[in-house]
Parts: sequence; C-alpha cells; structure tokens
Amino acid sequence: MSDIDIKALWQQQPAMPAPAVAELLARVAKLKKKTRTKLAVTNVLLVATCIFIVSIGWLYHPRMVTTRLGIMLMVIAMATYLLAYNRIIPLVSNKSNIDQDTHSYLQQLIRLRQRQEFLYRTMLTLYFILLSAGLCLYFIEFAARMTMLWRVVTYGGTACWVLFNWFYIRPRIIKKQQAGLDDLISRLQGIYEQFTAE
Amino acid sequence: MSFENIYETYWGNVYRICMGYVNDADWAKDIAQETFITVWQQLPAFRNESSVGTWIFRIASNHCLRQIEKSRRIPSGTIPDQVAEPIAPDIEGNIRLLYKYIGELNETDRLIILLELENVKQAEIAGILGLSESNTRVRIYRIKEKLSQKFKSNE
Repeated sequence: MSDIDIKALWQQQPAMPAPAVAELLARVAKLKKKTRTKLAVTNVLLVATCIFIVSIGWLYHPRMVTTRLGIMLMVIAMATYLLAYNRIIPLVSNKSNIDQDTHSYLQQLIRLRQRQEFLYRTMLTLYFILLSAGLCLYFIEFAARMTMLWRVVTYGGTACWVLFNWFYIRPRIIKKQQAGLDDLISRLQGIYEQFTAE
Repeated sequence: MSFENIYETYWGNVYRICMGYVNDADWAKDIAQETFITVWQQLPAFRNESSVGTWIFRIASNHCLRQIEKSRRIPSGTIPDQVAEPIAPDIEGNIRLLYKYIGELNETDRLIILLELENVKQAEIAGILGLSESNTRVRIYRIKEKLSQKFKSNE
C-alpha cells in the first residue's frame, strides 16, 4: 500500500459530527463550580484552624508561653500538611502555556514536575520539624511539674516518637510519593527524547 | 473568526487526531473537548501570530501528551471498537488496521503522522511540534514507510 493510499484511507472516514456547543459550555460551567467548591473548602479549613487556635487560648490557660507556642506550631504543621497535600495550596503554579509548541511544552512540564517533587519533599520535612518542635515545647510546662523520673520517661518517649517518625515514617511517605512522580517524569523524559532522536 | 465557527470547522480534525492518539472513542472525545475548552478560554488572548489552525493543533497535541499525567492507561495498538458508522467492509477493516498501526508508533511519531494525515502542511507540523522542517520531512517519510510495511506484511 503506497503513501497516497494511507492518506486517502484516512480521509475516507465518515465525518464525526461535533457535539453541541452547549455540551462544551456545560463542561466549562462544571469546571467553574469545582473551582468554587475547592475555594469554599479552603476557607472553611482556614477558619476552622483559626477557631481552633483561638479557642485553645480561650478555654485553656497554660501558664507558660512555651505551651502555647508548642500548640501553635503543631496546629500550623497540621494545617500546612492538610492544605498542601489536598493540593489546595498550589505549590507549583500549574499555569503553563498550553499553546506553545509541543517540544517546549514538554520541557516545561518536566521542569514543573521536578520542582513539585522537590517541594513536596521540603514540605514534608517542614511538617515533621514543626510537629516535633511543637511537641517538645508543649511538654515543658507539664514536665516542670513532674519528678525527674517522669521527665526522663516523658522526654525519652517523645524523643523515641520523633526519631521513629523522622527515620521511618518520613522516608516511607517520601518514597511513596516520589515513586509516582518519578515514574511520570521518566515517562515524560522518554517522550522528550523522541524529539531529539533522529 | 467566532468560537462557534472555529468549533464547527476544526472539531472533526481535532477529534480524529485525538482518536488516533489514544484509540478510544470516549477518551478521544474528552481530549477534544478539553482542547476546545482551552480554545474557548484563550481565544480572546489569541493574536494572529500563527494561523488559527496551527494554534488549535498545538493545543490539541499538548492535551494529547498530557494524558500521560491523567491516566496510567498507555495508548496502545489495540483496534478501536467503533471507528464510526459501518462503511464498505474492506475499507472499514483497513481503517481499523491503520488506527492499530498508528497506535503502535511512539507518541511523537503518532502526532506527526496524524497531523500529516489531516493535511497539515509539513512546515506547520514542524511549528506545532517544535521540530525542524527537515527533521519533520524525514520523519514523515520514515513513518509512512513503516506503516506501509505493516500493511504489506499483513497482506
């Protein structure tokens, strides 16, 4: 079968009628609604976090500033985690120019995903540091009232928990997330190489 | 050119390119619709630096490539169930085969040949994909050879 035949064959396909424009516009409306819902969820989460922080100061009167600071750090850590991992905070701007040529677009996509990979790792590390620091500060007030033995038990326990998180849980989460992104990046790079191949 | 005009004019081309890329009618319709949503959103900002066609095909090609992010399904060389309404049996069979063979090409080659089959000029294909014109010409030639070979070995 010659070249011409392939093109002729392709052109012999019956035309596929375009779905009504209304269907397309309905999809745009749905997309907008989704964005609005996401925005609403963000606001509810932020307000809830603020109420939580304020109510802790209101209802419960810790004497030492370290306790409050500790609680704050833990709440901030959890809020950041929540927001970042629900992709509510766009860590990496997804605004890429989809109307540029495919070769450049692909390059941009790869860069974007690599940055995302780096940022998620940083965010997770930040989360664990904030949480651990918060926990240690929080315990100071209570430890001050304890006997020496209990202080050692409390801080020893906390330290074990922190270390367990840092050396076991954190690398595991990072590895799991990395696997998905790594796979994606390598597939994108695979396509990118097709461009340079002769 | 109004959006409705663009939509009516280019839907068929864009849909077939998407169909050739993923070999799945529903999925192709999705990508084609995403393409036109982007067109709809960005049309006010479109300056006539390139022709409307080139611009739309760029958006379509990039949307096709992005499918890799959305799904673990990798387009493969399977024969689509429904090409369209039944035509003469041998032609229909050949079109199915053509879809299958295109599906067996790598992503870039798939886009190159689909644009070529849609009668896009070679210089424009180069502009859409970001390849040099000479490279595009050579690759189109090679892909056509490859497809012809596949048809021959099937006979």
